[in-house]
Amino acid sequence: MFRRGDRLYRQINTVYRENYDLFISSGLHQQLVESRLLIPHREVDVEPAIPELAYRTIEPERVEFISYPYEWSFSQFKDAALMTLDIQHRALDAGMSLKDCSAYNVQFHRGRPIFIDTLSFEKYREGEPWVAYRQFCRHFLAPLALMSSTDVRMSQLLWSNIDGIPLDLTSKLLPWRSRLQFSLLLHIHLHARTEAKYADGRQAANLKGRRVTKLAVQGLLDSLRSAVRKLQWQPAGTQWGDYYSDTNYSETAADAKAELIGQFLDEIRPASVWDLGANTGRYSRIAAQRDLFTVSLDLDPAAVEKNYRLCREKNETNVLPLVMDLTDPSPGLGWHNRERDSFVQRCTADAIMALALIHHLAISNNLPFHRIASSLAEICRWLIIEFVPKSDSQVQRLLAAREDIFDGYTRENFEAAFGEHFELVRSEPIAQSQRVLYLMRGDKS
Amino acid sequence: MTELVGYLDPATASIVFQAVVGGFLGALLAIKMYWRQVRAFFVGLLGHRRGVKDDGE
Repeated sequence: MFRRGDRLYRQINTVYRENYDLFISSGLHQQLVESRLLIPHREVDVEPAIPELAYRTIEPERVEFISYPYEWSFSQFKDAALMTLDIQHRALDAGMSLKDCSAYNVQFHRGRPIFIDTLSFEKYREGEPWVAYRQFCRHFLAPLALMSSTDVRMSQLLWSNIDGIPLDLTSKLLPWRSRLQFSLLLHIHLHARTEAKYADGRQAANLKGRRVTKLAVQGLLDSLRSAVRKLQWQPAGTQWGDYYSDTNYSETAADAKAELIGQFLDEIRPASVWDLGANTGRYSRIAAQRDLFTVSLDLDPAAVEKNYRLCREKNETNVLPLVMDLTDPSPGLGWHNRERDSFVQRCTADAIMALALIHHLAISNNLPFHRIASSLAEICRWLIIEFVPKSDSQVQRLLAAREDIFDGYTRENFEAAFGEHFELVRSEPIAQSQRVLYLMRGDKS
Repeated sequence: MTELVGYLDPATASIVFQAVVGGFLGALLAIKMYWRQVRAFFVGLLGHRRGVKDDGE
């Protein structure tokens, strides 16, 4: 892949020519694009990055925001897995096969998972095994099984396992009862045991004459599909899942806040919005309704899960819910720390909403106002931020559990610190509460 | 492909595993699809018979 200016292209090398041509001529490409399973592209007449190797150059449609599997909620992950299996199934019907099943080949685009690796398809030869099987197990089945049966936070293991969670580790972490489910027993536990058997590299396996028929590959696919379908996770009962019903926020206050946010957004008309600490996305939807692409981030997997389910139900195309801990966001991973970009590197927000957030950062996490302000100023142009004073019940709750060393936590200090990085364009008190909503403009153009 | 070089690593182990379980899972799928066809046949049959009965009345 390469850039020219701010456009992104992909070079198809001559070594891949036959597969690409078959991909198009078999109709598989068209079918997948029409079903919105594959990112569309157009062939372009642009000088390729390495002309000696190039066959064609294509320009894929851009995804609004690149997200990574460790940022997905359970259902996002499950939908991505089922979609990948569906694509492999259709590929086989067209005489092709996926040569890799990396979770990084899936992105969320207009609210749905979509496959972005146009060059992952190769001609299927009867008798050959499905080489992507192992990768599917590590990238999809293992994390999903762990999230479902052990703990939903297990997807964080993907931070330190860039090619999916190893099967032996998964096998050790899954509860014993997972062996009672036939497909997990097979694709995780026994699969892991087989890998261990050959791990030292000294066993010579007789692979001569081992054929895997098309029916066998289809059987494998069917078994994986049923394994993924059976995995469930319900988002009740984590810390923030019931947030909105627990506050003493009156409906009037919430509506007043929503009204103000709408006004601010109409005034600034940003290209995109990030909602930090979005919980179930209640306020993200205000931006979404105005046809603004909104990334809806929250620390709590249950809240993000609920958000995604709601989006899916309503066919919401403008909201992308993701799991993110703002005090420890996704780092850069892989070779040179650049294979997967860090959260900050992907920060392309035009406007950021930081509602009911400042007290969590300043009090629970001890971050000084000026640090918060300078970091936010680096990543956005517009800021809609809610100041929550000490007298607010939410802050009182936080202070109940800790020593109040926060003498500096005042509205004046807040305005002073943010005033150094932003112009305070508007400030409006929120009815029936003591909170104040600010609209700020940063220096970054 | 009838022959693979035998320097072993976990990735190749996966292929051996697939070769072993694939046959079994393929057979399971075949049975599943067969039963679906059998069921569909009987459902179709019943529908047809019901239609014939109505005509007779």
